[in-house]
Amino acid sequence: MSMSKSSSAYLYIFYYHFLTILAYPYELLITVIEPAAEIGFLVLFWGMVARGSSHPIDLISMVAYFIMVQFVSIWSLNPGGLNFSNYIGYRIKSGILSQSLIRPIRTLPALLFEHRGYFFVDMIFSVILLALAIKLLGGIELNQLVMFIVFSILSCIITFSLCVLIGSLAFITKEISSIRHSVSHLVRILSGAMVPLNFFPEGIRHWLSITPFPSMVFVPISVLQNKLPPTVLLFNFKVALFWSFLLLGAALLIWQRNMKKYEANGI
Amino acid sequence: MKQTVSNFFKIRMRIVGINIANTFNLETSYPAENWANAFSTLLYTASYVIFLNVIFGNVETLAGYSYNDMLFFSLLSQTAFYTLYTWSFDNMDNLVNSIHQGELDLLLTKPLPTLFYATTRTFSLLRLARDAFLPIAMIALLISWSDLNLSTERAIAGLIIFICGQWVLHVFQFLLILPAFWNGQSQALLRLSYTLSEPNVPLEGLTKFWRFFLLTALPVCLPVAASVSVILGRSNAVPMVIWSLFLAAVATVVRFFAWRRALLAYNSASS
Repeated sequence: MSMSKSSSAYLYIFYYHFLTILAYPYELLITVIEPAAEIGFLVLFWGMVARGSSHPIDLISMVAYFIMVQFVSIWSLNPGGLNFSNYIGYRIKSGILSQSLIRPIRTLPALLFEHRGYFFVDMIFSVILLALAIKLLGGIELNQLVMFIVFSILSCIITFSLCVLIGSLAFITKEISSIRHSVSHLVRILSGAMVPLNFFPEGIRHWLSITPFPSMVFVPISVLQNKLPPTVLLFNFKVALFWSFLLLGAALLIWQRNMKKYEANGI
Repeated sequence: MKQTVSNFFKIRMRIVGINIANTFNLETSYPAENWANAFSTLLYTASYVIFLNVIFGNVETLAGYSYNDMLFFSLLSQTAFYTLYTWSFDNMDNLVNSIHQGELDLLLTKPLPTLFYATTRTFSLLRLARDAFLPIAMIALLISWSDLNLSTERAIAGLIIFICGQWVLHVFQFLLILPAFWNGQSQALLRLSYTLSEPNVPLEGLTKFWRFFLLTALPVCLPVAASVSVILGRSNAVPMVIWSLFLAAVATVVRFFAWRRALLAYNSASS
């Protein structure tokens, strides 16, 4: 199949799954309320932290940070929840994966576009949230936005790779939800999704900086907040790029090896 | 034929017994998953303790709560989560799915107390033991119990508030998913109910408006924040106990009538 034909096939998959969400417009409203409630509780909590802190904590900046966590989470396949791995795992366990295999398209991108289709409304709403966060920050420059997009893409690749690696375990163990939970708990705390990494002691931050975790949430947000000096920014870029290549390569290799052993049923 | 009180309880206890056995069989299908789950919850608790340590590396107290008080808060918060997780979360999920797929028809035709059966279908004692024991024991070991301001009377009052709070939160989740009877789907509302069930904020840190709001209209602070506040002697026990009993009673009545109203709106798939 030609490149343009396969691209339109993926877009069609995306569109089709988006339409299934539109079948329940009432549910869409909740998609808006849920992150608002999450942010509301975070504001309450961090307000308490700011009041009890011996050094000043800028509450507005914290609110902007957690709004941006919402944006990065939704656009980068939810690093804190690794939901895409569950999506893959469930398809392998239940045998639904066979439906994707009989289509004349590549399976992983197809699954990715299906998943994104389901979350398209969340993605749109998160752009509004991002605009709100930028307003709270007092605006940003174009180069910050460009770098933010670049780092968000790398974050997305790392999260996608982790999800495929965890999801692929379903070929062996069938049930992967607890493994996903274990990894996502780690990612949530070490990526900065739960608490900004600048709250961590210096020594821990130093060791964390060479792992893939900060690149998943903290670094993209820090780029947008313009909090990283150029040398640190370059170092973070190299680290994110290294992990993106390494994890993506490992994920694709493991996926392909397992696919060869997969016993499809229902075809 | 009029049902006697003993029969009323006998039937319900039997349903719970059968549902516990069914859930146990289901959850032992993947033995490795049980170990992985225990590890996962332990890891979650470890990450939460790290979170608390990071926060208290920057603050002395949080809304007047010391690190030790917050560990106690986490202990109750985890207990509340796992209790609700054992008997409510999955049942709400099953109920939404059975309405969505029309499977509720099967349930309605059974000679059973439908509301009771629909809300207790999954009752996982194994999950409670497997997932909750290690994290709760871990937090309990970290707490310096002698430094907590505890008394038997306040602990009993806290327990009453905790139980009432669990019931109120369950009814709150139940009411949130009922629109599925009208719309055919409530997964997003179910997710929202999970999100709203987890506000780990001490009552003392809230403004008067938020304290009132989160103990009345959206009573999500009742099982944990209110119980901890009473147990640690930060709030007056008597009015809080009375309020929680009142809320539990109101929740029971509302649940009953809301279910009846929702059933009238149900479009059966097969009959």
